[in-house]
Amino acid sequence: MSLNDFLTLLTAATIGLSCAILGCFLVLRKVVMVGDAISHSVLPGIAIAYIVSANFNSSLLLIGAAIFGVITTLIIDFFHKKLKLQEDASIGITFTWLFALGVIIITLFTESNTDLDQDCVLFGELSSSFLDKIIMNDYLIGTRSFWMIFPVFLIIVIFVVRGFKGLLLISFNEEYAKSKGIHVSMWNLIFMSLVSITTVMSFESVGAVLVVGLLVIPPATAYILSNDLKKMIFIACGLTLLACILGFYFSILIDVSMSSMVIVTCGMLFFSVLAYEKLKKMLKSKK
Amino acid sequence: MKGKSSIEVHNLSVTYQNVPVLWDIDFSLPQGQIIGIVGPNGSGKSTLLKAIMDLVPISSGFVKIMDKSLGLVRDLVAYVPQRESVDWNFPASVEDVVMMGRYKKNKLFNRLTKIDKELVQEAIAKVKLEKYKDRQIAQLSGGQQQRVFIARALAQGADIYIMDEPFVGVDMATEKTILDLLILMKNEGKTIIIVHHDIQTVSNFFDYIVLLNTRLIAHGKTSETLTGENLQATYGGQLNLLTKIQTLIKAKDFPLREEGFEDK
Ligand SMILES: Nc1ncnc2c1ncn2[C@@H]1O[C@H](COP(=O)(O)OP(=O)(O)O)[C@@H](O)[C@H]1O
Ligand SMILES: [Mg+2]
Repeated sequence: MSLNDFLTLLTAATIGLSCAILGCFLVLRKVVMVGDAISHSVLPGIAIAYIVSANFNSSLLLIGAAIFGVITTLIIDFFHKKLKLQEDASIGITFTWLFALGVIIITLFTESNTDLDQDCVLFGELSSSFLDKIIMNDYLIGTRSFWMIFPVFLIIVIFVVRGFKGLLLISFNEEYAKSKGIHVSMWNLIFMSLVSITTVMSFESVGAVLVVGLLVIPPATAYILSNDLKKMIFIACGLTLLACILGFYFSILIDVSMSSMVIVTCGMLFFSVLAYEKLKKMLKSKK
Repeated sequence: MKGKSSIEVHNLSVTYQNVPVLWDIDFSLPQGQIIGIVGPNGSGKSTLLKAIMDLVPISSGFVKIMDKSLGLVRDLVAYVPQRESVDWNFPASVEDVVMMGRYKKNKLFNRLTKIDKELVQEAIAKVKLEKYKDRQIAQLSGGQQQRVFIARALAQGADIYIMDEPFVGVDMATEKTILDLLILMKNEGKTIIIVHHDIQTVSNFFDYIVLLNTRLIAHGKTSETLTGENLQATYGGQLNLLTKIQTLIKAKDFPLREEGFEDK
């Protein structure tokens, strides 16, 4: 494996693991569509961040972009709970509107800013992430994509490990958590902020559409396979790593976009697991 | 202990989208008894519990628990939601769920202690689920799931237990386990408040009842409060049921479920 391959895989894995961990809670809390919405509605934030900062290294601005994701969840909540609009309609209105706004901002300003185009927004490209190396005192210390996502990954791990009880409580039974005086909306906000930051930080590499695949497919697969939350998270992570490695080699083999190939592999793993479980049940009932 | 009130509800009103679901409810409940909140479906029973637990916005009025506001005595009150309120396919074992009873607002980031774990095992034993403690909750019967919820409340070690329809969809064995447990808890001085809609079992289960249908119809000792008039006012037009009830009242104290009938 070449250094570039390694750097690409490292970025993919860090993004994938961040998504897998958060995704488990999205799946269990049945708010996958909110995650989808967030990944799209951060676009105007990202566009503005890129335009405002002439140099692209300003990660701080990108964290600002993540605010759009948080605002999205608040708007969805407002439409759904206060205005009594159906939840799916609230989600649909909010994120398509913001996403379209983002596309317009990009097309208007894209001439002066070639690094951001519509293809990249939608799909990203992992395999070019190694181009942007960070070298310090002659030592290669990784790629920019990696250093964008890595701190987020660390925060997610710490948050999930330390806040496991709170997350478990609000995921299983929000009302019960509230009855214990736990500040459910605060937990929600922090959690959704992490989802938001993750989508922003991984968007150059995997784009707004494909990141949803990473958030949903491995956790959904792990959900089928496990009857314990901790196991589910570990299985989701394992599947993600497997999909990253396989997807990487497949994409080289047939020369296609790596990010798409990783998601396709995730899907194939999902269907394999589904088929395996079905088969197991059939064999059992035959006995 | 008994003279003091466990829960006081003052002029409480709750509305959903301008439709009142609870209207000007005012009562105070004794301590150390098994109390039934009784009324037909949609009469606002669950909403009343949620209002007591501060889970729904209150339009007017207030609630006091042991003379204090809920925030100050939270650990003393255990809430058992309706069984259907959660997805039982959640990847958690019986033990995991009962353990939640030991989670505390201010200690959410601390590890659970040995004592916590012992209390959890004790609670599981009390509802007779030792054999199932490592099972995923999806693989339990309705009655067993209900017992998991009750064990979770027990593990909390509260003084007041607020349960929403714990007898719905449970088998006979579970009903008996729960009833025995409730009596045991009462003898330890605990207050148990139970939402219940099956009128036939009211006199067997409860020492004290609150009859509810959006408004407060009556409240007091079961023997004094369970009258034909009160039931008519609570259950209104549901005549079929009412005739049943009236015969039931006439035969007051008639043991509905004779000993030995239940099981074994
Ligand atoms: N979240 C809600 N939004 C709107 N209406 C509700 C909500 N929850 C309950 N209701 C309505 O309030 C009434 C009382 O409900 P509930 O307290 O659940 O009654 P019960 O528990 O006695 O069956 C019902 O008519 C129900 O349809
Ligand atoms: Mg109810």
